[in-house]
Amino acid sequence: MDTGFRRLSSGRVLITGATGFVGQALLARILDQHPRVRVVLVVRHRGGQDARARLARLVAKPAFVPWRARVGNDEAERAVASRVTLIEADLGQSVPHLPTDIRAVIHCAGEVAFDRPLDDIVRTNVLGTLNLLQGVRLTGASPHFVHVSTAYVTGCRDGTMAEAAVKSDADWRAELDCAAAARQAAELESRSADLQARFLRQARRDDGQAGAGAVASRAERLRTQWLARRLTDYGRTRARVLGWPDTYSFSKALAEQALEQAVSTARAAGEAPALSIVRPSIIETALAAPFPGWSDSFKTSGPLIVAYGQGLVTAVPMQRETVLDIVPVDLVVNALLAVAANPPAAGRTAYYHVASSARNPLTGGQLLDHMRGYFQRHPLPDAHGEGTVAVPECRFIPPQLGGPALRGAQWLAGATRQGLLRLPAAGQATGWLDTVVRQEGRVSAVRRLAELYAHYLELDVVFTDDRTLALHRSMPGPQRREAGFDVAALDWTDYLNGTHFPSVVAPLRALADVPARRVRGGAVRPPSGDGVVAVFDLEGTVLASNVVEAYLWTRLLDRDAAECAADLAGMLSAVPRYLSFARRGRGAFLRDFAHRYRGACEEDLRLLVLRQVGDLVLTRAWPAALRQIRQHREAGHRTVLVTGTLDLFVAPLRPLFDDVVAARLEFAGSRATGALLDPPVVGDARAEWLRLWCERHDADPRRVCAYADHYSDRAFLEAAGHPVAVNPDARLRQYARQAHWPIVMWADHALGPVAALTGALRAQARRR
Amino acid sequence: MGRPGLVLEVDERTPPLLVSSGERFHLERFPLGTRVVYPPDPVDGVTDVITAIREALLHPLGADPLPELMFAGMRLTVVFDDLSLPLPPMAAPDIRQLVIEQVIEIAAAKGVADVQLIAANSLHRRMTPAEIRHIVGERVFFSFWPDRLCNHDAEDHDSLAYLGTTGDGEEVEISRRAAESDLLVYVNITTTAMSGGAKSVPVGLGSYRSLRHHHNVETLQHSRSFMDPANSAMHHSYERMRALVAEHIKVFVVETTVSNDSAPGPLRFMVAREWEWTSPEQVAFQAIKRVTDHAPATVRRAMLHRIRAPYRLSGVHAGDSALVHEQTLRNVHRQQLTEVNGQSDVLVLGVPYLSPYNVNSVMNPILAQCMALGYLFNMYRGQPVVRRHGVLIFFHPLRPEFHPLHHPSYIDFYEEVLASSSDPATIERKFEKQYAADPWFIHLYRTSYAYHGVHPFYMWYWGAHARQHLGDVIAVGATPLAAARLGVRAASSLADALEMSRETVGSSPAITYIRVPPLVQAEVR
Repeated sequence: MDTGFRRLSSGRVLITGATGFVGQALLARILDQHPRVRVVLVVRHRGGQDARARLARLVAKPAFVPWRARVGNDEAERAVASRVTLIEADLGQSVPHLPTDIRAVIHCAGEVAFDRPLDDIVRTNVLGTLNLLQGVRLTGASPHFVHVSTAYVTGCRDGTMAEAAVKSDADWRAELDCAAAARQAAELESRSADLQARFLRQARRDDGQAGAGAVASRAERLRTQWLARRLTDYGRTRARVLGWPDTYSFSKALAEQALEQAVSTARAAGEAPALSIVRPSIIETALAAPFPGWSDSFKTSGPLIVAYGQGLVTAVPMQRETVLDIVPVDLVVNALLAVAANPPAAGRTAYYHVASSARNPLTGGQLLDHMRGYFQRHPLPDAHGEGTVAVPECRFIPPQLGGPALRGAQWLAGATRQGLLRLPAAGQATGWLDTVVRQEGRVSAVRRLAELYAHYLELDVVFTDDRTLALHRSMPGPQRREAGFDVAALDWTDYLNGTHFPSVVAPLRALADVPARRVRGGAVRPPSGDGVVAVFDLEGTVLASNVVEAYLWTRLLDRDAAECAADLAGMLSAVPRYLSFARRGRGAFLRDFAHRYRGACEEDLRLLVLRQVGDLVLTRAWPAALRQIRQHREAGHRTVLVTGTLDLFVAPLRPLFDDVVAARLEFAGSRATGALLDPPVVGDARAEWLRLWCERHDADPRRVCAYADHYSDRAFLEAAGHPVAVNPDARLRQYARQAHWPIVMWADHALGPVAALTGALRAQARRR
Repeated sequence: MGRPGLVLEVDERTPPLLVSSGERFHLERFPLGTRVVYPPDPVDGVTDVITAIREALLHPLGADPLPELMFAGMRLTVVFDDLSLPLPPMAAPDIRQLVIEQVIEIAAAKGVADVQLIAANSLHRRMTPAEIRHIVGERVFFSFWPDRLCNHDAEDHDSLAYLGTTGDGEEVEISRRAAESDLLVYVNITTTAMSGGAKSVPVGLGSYRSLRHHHNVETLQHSRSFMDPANSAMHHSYERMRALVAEHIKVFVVETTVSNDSAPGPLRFMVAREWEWTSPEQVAFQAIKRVTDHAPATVRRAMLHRIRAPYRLSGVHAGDSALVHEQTLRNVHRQQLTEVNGQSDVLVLGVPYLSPYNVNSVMNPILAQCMALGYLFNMYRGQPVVRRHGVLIFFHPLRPEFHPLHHPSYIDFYEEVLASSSDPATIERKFEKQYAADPWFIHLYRTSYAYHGVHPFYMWYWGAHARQHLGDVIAVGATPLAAARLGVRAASSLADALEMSRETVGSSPAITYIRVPPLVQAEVR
């Protein structure tokens, strides 16, 4: 250990952001390689976990595995207990109370997402930094303050950037106040009558079939999405107006500026804080430590590399010669430790670039050549798990063309999806929809990446690293070899092909080995144990027919040709009315359609079902559905049928169910009045019915297997512990996929509507 | 007197030969040297059918004349074969109608009031009223339907009578009405050597409890063939059961046989030898081929199932079952037996659109395999036409298409059982009981028009002997997925199938093509 590190071990090193990508690599390195250095971690309460729980999870992560393996788990636990002090604080909210024996502060904490709303990111990255500095000053000590920034604080400027302060007129306090005001204004605007009416209209269009509850939650979700987009747009636009590509680099520049001002103020007050600002470029997977290929982040080049490997990227909006500045995380950690151990002279601020563009540039063309070669040798498995992806030829296009092309492709995919969602859930349309949704997802992912990285790909900038190199060269020989950070020593071919690419795509290869959750065709294994109830919807789930078809059966089989023709004509003329009722909801349609039975004789209908229609029902039932019902019964489960169809037509399937809830016609004497006795159990009402049924029959909704086919059954399916989407329509299919419900296709082996009816008519003719 | 059966050896002058493939027809050129087996020409029919029937009833074999067996106050049950015979169904009047009418006339003359007619449909589907009416004729139908004319219900346990067990421990359970009758008249139509005789009562009126003793893999693997009663373990079991039935019931059988005129008018091309097709037959073939090649399945099925055959009565015998059946078998053999010299390496078959279990229905893949590996493979006497470890090539599309009303248990058998195994013994052990006792299948068998839950298993067992005997089975024109599920290989053409068979039987196999329809039974020397 050199003199610098010896100095560090005389007190403690404070680290923020230890749970982040750089922070945990830094902590792992200190615990592993600097056994005499003690650390203070500032960690905030997050995701329901306090700082202690977060530390426990942190030291169990892969970055600490090599160290644990070397010293043993017990020693590792003991080292953490004795060498790590934990302070729970949220820097963005308040000034922390810190111990007085801190020799150096390494401030890694910060928001690193490119597209956060401006007020959020300024609060975290600027105010958080100032609060930390204030906390340090309050201790009365003057530790070396190392601030981790980014090389891209230089904004959208091209050219060669020196390791020096960034000039800017921006006032971070004004920006924070205005961004907060903009949030307030956007909140109010999102709640305006016009916008909310628009959200409601769209929610009704998207989720109207799923009932009022689904519409309400969808409308509110649309509002919050709109708000998030609005704030992101505001922040990005503001950053670009002032010369930065996004809120991240803008906030980091503001933080540097604020830090410099605060340090000047402190110096004016007679203090002598030493400040170092370390600016890494794009940080990527580890070259060697904690182990080759280690990464805890998938935010930088990872998505682009994966998208390319999946064959999604055919054009890159940049020039072949543009330099991409990337640097492995362990070089950054090495530089940070060296900087921390070597403070600038009292009252001075030092700037360090940890970047490769000046002395070991990697161009876009070289990176793409490496990617193509790697994926040709090691292709990714395709989406079906049946083959591999052949990576396409990739062109460099002028940066300004990328955005419009991707916007157009995404619009086209979205419009096609909307169109397909309006088609009936026929097999072919379902297949098309799957393809379109997949393509839309890919285009959207590529577009998101392109938007995020566009400015970085366009920049023609070189970051000099003379001061960093000098620091590296000042280290003793052995230490330079062990913990150096000379980017010129990087061999891109080895690093990219042997370490970086394999590490980035490893999770994807592992995923390909996991069996799919969806069940295509075949049976769904019912849950084991007692108290299981299987509730089946009828039409589209068990039966291929619907109420209109059932009505046609009764008319065509019960009347002569002239009467049938008149009846059909009457029904066709009523189609617009039925469609209008159908738009209002399935219940309204069923009530109106039941009027067609007005005057029908109860006994005649029963006999007709018994003699002819019963067979039709059986020919239109899907055997796989009947098999599933019987499987439940064999397992001792209760089986229930719930349908808006008339109970008369359900009679042939009655032996399969313990309970049947179907629509009932009202009869006055022996004639139907055309009214239904009870409200049809459809849509939202079905979810409520299920809860009530479970209550009355001493059943637990979590033990209910619900089977349904239509998006209007969404609430019903959500109310059950084991929902299954059967032959789902396009919307339900989409929803079931998102909700990870099993999807089964049972639509085999039933006769088609025409074949079934003509068969019945032929049988009737033979009878006559 | 028609010509006897023919074994044609294909040479350069042989025209393409007709091959049935489900609901489609092909003209195939066979390799030179292929033997083609044709049945004898249609035998002469009885000129006066009514008189022949009366003569049989009045002068029975080994029994008193029928009028003498009847008396006022007796319980008479008339049982008749169901729609699985003959194939295709007979043009009206059905021969069973003519026999039943005379039996009932005699009963009426003798003052017998308690007469019940039962269709011996065993575990087959119930016949619709229209199908029963076609068999028994309008006069009988309207006099007896529905109270005194019904389908046998093998799952109505109150209406079944347990008669005891045979010396081999086989339980015999049949219709209670039949068991408690003073006289049972069984009106039969025999179109293959497998049917009629001892099979009629114990099987036609039996239940699963009885049938499982002979409809099983073990028995069928030892029935070589089940078209040759003397060498069929299945028939030996029937015979033991018949003897037990005879101890309890007086049975008077009337067995009829018909000629092989199984296609009407110009459709005779289906049964005629190709080089003898007349011009109208050639035109009819072209027309039917165009329609069946291009029409939707429902249309071509409706058209083919409309065919009614102009059979002629070739014999009617009545009286004691054993004596009568001897005469019946002689008539069947007269019509169907063709002598074939030696076995071949490859047997080629065309599976037609119709089997006993898809009348007015769909020939699903399980029935198609039953036709190929069961019925048609077993149409031999002596030894199989194809040698042990030889190859069977059959034509059928094997589309996984089922009639949901008639064959619900077949669908589950295909989707569930065959997905697990195609080995008959494994299937029998693992699944038979579950399907036979499935309450839903029993409900459908009793109240709808479904074959019994166990029926697809029997269809699978029919092929057990062939599966044991053959080295490979190839289905030409078959859906590959369905073929794989049935445990056979799919080929797109006969040439491909022969190429595929090389790995089993070498490059120059001896090939025999059995031309069906009409039915032909090979006497393999």
